[in-house]
Amino acid sequence: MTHLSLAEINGYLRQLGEGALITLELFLTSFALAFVMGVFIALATLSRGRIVTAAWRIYASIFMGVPSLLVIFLVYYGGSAMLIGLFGAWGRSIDVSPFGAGVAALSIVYAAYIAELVRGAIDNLPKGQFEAARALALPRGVLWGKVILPQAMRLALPGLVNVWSFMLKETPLVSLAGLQDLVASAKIAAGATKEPFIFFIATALLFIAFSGLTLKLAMRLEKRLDRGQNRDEAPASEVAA
Amino acid sequence: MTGLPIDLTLARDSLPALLVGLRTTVFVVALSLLFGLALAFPICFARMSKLRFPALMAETFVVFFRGAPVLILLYLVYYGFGQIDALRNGPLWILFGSAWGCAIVALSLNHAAYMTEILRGSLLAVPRGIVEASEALGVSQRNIFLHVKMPLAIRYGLKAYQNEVVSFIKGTAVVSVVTITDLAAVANGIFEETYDPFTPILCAAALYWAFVNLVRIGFDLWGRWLDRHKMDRERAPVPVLQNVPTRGRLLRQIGRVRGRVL
Amino acid sequence: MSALTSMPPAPLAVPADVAIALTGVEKRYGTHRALAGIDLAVGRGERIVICGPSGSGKSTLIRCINGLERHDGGRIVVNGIELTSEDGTVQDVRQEVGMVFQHFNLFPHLNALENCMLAPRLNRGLSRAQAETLAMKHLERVHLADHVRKYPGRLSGGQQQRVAIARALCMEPRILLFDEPTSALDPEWSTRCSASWRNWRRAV
Repeated sequence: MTHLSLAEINGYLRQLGEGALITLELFLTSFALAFVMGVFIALATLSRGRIVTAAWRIYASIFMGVPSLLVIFLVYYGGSAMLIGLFGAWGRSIDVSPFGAGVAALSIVYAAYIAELVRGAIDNLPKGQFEAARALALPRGVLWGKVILPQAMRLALPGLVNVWSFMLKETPLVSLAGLQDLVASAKIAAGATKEPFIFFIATALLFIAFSGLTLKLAMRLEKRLDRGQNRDEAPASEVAA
Repeated sequence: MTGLPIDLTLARDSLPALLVGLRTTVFVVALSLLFGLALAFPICFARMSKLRFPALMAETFVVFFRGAPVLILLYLVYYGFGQIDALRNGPLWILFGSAWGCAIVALSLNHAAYMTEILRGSLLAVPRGIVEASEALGVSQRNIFLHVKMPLAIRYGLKAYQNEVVSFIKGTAVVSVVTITDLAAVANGIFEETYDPFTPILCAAALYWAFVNLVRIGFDLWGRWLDRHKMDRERAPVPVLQNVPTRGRLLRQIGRVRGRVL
Repeated sequence: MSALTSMPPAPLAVPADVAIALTGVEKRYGTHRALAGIDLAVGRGERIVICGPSGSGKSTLIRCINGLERHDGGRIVVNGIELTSEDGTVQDVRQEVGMVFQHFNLFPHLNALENCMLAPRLNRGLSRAQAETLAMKHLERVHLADHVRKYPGRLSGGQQQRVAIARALCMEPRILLFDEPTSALDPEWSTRCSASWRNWRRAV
């Protein structure tokens, strides 16, 4: 590091910081989108006809069986053509950026995993929950929003945490489509300064620290949700009220 | 929509090149799975050791190589180790001097870190009483490991191992960044020549899909063969690691073990 | 105590007709004294039952005799071999002592025959055929000849226990320890099993 001036170090650090923000933005946007899509797919495909289930199976099999990198390339290279195909001339005006392609690809892929988790969780809820809600004549929206989904999310939480940390580790792939994210900035800095160890290890540690931190939060959330569940279970006589 | 976005002529013409790429991918996968697994055993023993220093070292290894994205590991090994002058003249240069060596090292370390945790979880799932019964029969520790602990651990950890192998295969698509022309790299090359955004990528995706599902079927058959004794579910030992996404309690345990996705 | 451990232990004079000899055996878990100065001598051919409320240390005592638990004080001599902190002695003792566990602890991935063959093959280096002959002999003795290819998961509790007994007998031990052998069985089975032990004792 001796041959680097303070100003240079500052410059690289700023670049890394900007890259880190882009990575974070990409990751959070993709995860949020994947989550919404996943829950929606789960609800849309649960206990439906054979055609819907088959379509879901194909979707899941494709995106769980293909590298995310290829999906990113496909959306990035073919995105414009797909948009034109879908929306005609209006699609031509939309520019496919690496960021947009990354968000689209990652959320499509991980929506499949999240949908699988949520479906499993809903399947696993006691059937009595549905019957009790029906006996109380709860409207469909309340049944799903207030009764089924909150419980299903608790069951799916460990799996979601899993998806979260795995997806985080795949966001750097978007840099291969040209996104100037954390990893791309680290690569530039490593090449220019001839200090690959410092920059790559620092980048790796940033990823590890972020996922470790969020994992702790998730565990705390898990505990909080469990506490709530135990309190609900205790006064069994209050169910009528 | 103008029908299929796939140019069938191009698909047919590029198939031989794609198959060569697939062969490279299979090589990369096979070698890293082998070395990764071989490495996972000593690291797992260190991780489970009662001595504090080896256990801490092994844990650090797992946290780093599991927590870091594969892309960064590849960069780190490829660009990083090439910088060390001491390595240039040493015997290890055969490994770190070539793109292949670097790719295999980086991927093996990543796989080893995951396998260490899977192995540990599976070994810990072996009921204490079964081990005691073997001890009471006077079986040596080495034989207990080989004939009792490992056969059971394989059964408990098989599903997690399958998931890890499947996502590992998909993860190897990044090795092109260190100039290895695997399946993804070949597809990318055809795109750059033809500017057909769909045909090469979709063909490569189909080949990956087939590879992954072949592996999955292989694991399923293996699992079914191992489970031939488990006809009565009630008395079978609790398969802690078994991945049954529809069972909430198990799902939670899988979450604890934190393998790759699912 | 320190005097005892620092000196090379003098061979304990145990009469040849005593199979198990315990003198002043201690076992502590933290501050809890599970065994406090146990003296016991079991003669050859003798059958004894140790009774007591749960938590009184019955299991601990049995587990100390074949070295599953290390005793903290006193001396244990089994078949003339003293259990010391050296690993070798524990292995030697275990060759002479068979044990049937409360929950049987059969190997779930091996069938009844293979459960019985494992230890003779690994410890005594018997060939597959020799081990199979030996295992069949003991499985027939506990009336399980028809079930030898079944996996533990397919056997009833009583059958599992008899496999566990056969498995222990296959090492041809001179001492057999039972840890609460009937508590995992329903009453009907436990009556039947006690009967079968009596028969077995007669057959030896």
